Amino acid sequence: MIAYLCAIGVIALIYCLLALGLNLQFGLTRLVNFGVVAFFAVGAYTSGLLSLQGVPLALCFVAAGVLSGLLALPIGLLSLRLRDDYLAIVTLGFSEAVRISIQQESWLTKGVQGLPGLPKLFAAWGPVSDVATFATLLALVALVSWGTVRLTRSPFGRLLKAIGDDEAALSALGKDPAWFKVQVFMLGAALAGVAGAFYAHFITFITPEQFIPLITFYVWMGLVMGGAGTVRGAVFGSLLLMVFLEGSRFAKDWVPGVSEVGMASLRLAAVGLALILVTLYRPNGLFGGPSK
Amino acid sequence: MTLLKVEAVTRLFGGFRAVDDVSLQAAEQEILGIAGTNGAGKSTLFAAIAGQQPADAGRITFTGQDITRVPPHRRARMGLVRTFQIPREFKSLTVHENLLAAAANPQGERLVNAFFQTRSLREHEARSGRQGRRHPPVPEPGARARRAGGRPVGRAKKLVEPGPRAHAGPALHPAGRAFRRREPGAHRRDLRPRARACTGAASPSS
Repeated sequence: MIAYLCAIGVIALIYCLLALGLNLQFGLTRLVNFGVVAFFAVGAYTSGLLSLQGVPLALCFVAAGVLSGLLALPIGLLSLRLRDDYLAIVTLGFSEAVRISIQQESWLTKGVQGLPGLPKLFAAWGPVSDVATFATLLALVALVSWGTVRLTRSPFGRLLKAIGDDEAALSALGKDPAWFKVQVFMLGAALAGVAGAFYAHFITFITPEQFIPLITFYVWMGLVMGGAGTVRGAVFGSLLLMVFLEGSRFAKDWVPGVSEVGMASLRLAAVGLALILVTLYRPNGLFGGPSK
Repeated sequence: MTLLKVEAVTRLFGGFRAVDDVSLQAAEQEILGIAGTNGAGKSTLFAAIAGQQPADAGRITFTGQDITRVPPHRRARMGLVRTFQIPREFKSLTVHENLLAAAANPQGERLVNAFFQTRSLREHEARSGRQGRRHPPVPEPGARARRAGGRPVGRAKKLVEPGPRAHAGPALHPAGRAFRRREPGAHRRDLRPRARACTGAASPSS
């Protein structure tokens, strides 16, 4: 049971990290990134492939963040030329392109077979390695949360919010929104990359099918339910989503007459209903403060 | 001396000519009004001059420099600042932060300085803050416009502003202050006849 809770906890915290990255992009700057999973996948594969070459894990994690961040640079530059709705389409397409590239380029990624047997974090610690991973992730999420709050209150964060509100007005004040947008896009992507590395070395087996757009939309659901633009929204929204997705596994014991398969569908329906109710009654999210 | 010179500026939206071959000039200290019916292209002309919707043809010179291809933020830094017809304040920022966002602070706004703020940057911020506090939030119609409109004053040489400004209350640009000093409270009546007195040749051919 402890092992199960620990596993759920790690996955939940990985979603938190993804949501915190998206929060910088969408929550503050209103950049609609529907390609979260692409940077997650690149992080996971970067770290996974490097670790199989015997590179120390710490270095793999750094490389995952850096490479995902760098990959966001061309997309970020592209986003400068696009209106937000087109950015959503481009990023969604990009994430699929990344997934299919991973699937096809089997000389590098072993294609659909995936990468089995990735080293676990803290493997030397034996039975407590998962607990240690959980603790590390918890510390990282806390650090990123603190950093985001700090960023939000800084002049840099102020401009991000101003870009989210009215880019043209900001340019009329003599500030160039472009570079700020690229920076925040790269920052969010780097966080997703690190989250990917954690995922790869926790699951220890990654295949292209794990990086479908559904992951992106889970992150979005968590962020929107919690409240975009706030740290507590991103964190508690993701945790809540996890409670929904995993908790309903247990609900089948109490709801008679529903098959396992039926329950999986009901689970998604429940998440959808929750999302509708939140948008109707708490448009700023459950933890996003009262709507104005 | 001619401060702003617009020569044969055209702005297209697909096949539609929103601004068609417009030329005008404005001297320093001059107040120039552009009149036209709804949809005549006044706002687009202002957007072309300020750079949000760059001109597709023609030439714009400001203080002797060709700025036709200069991005909007660089034009604003040169002193060519625009306001908007509808107040466009940053809604997720407080009044105080709105004014701070307008202040020039290129060092403090760098990403690294969000985490490693030096004392001089903090002092710069506090100083801007004290200046910002002199603008109290005013809960009356027009306060929103003034909050948004008050921002560009810091470095403005020339304010271009489409649309009626009557709702903004006492105008915040230098000329507006001059009216107020002469005739307190009479700025609304005062602004209109002046705005109509066009000196430039705004000539949309359509």
